Amino acid sequence: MSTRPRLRRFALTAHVISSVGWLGAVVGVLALGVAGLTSDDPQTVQAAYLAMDLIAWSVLVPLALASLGTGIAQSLGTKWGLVRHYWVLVKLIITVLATVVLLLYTQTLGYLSGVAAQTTLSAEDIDVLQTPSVVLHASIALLLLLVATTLAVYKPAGMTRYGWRKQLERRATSQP
Amino acid sequence: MGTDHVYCKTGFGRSVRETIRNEERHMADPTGSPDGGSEHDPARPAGTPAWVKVFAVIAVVLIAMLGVMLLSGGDHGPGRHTSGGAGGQAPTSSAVQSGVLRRHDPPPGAHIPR
Repeated sequence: MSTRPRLRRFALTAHVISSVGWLGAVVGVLALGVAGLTSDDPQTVQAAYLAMDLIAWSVLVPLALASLGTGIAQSLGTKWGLVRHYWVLVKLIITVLATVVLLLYTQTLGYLSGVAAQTTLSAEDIDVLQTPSVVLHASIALLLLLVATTLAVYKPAGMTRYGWRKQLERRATSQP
Repeated sequence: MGTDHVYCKTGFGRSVRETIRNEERHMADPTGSPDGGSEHDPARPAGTPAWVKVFAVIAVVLIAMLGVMLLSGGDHGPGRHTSGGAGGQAPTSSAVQSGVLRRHDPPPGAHIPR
């Protein structure tokens, strides 16, 4: 089932934009996380966590879901398939894992931004906010997305057993 | 169309168009790729590539480390992000003590940094 070239081009463009946009947004959150972790200025810490919560819901989550959705559509709409080639399968696993952890981690970011939203922060609050958790999660997310992007560009060789069977079937039907 | 015409007259334009054409061809039909199955006996499936094995080993090690952390009472794991997960901590900030937090009250299992 191959989609028409024009539609395929649109799906590929949407997938590249959402995936690279997601990666860029994670870099932004990582920068905010480092600022929130290391700054001595309470206002900077407050601003960093408020911005991270906003970015999570308005940028990260939509782009992650768009990347996952367009990636699945792109795979199913071409002969690559979802589970026929290892690089597609690994990329799918990475994207699903990163999206699920992101959705769960929005709870933590929501809590931290709630603490940061107070007019004045006590030393206790600063202690709660200056956690390496955000930097750790953003770093791991960045690493995973870099791996996924590299896989998409290099498309390393390797066909799954399912893909191999499908290829044999296709060859058998194409030969008279 | 006019822009296409201008781009086509430059090397950059030709290069971009060639890249897009190649990518589309590649995305549409993977049989021309190195993993298309033409380099090994088509009657038998090719073995699992080395890079997949490396990825699998890394994934298993990471999962094992996470499992050890959870079993040893560590303070991190997927359960911390879920509403019923173990390891949730009572909020300690002054905002909670003073009742400021309502909308942002952490869910029971949320990852509350200390």
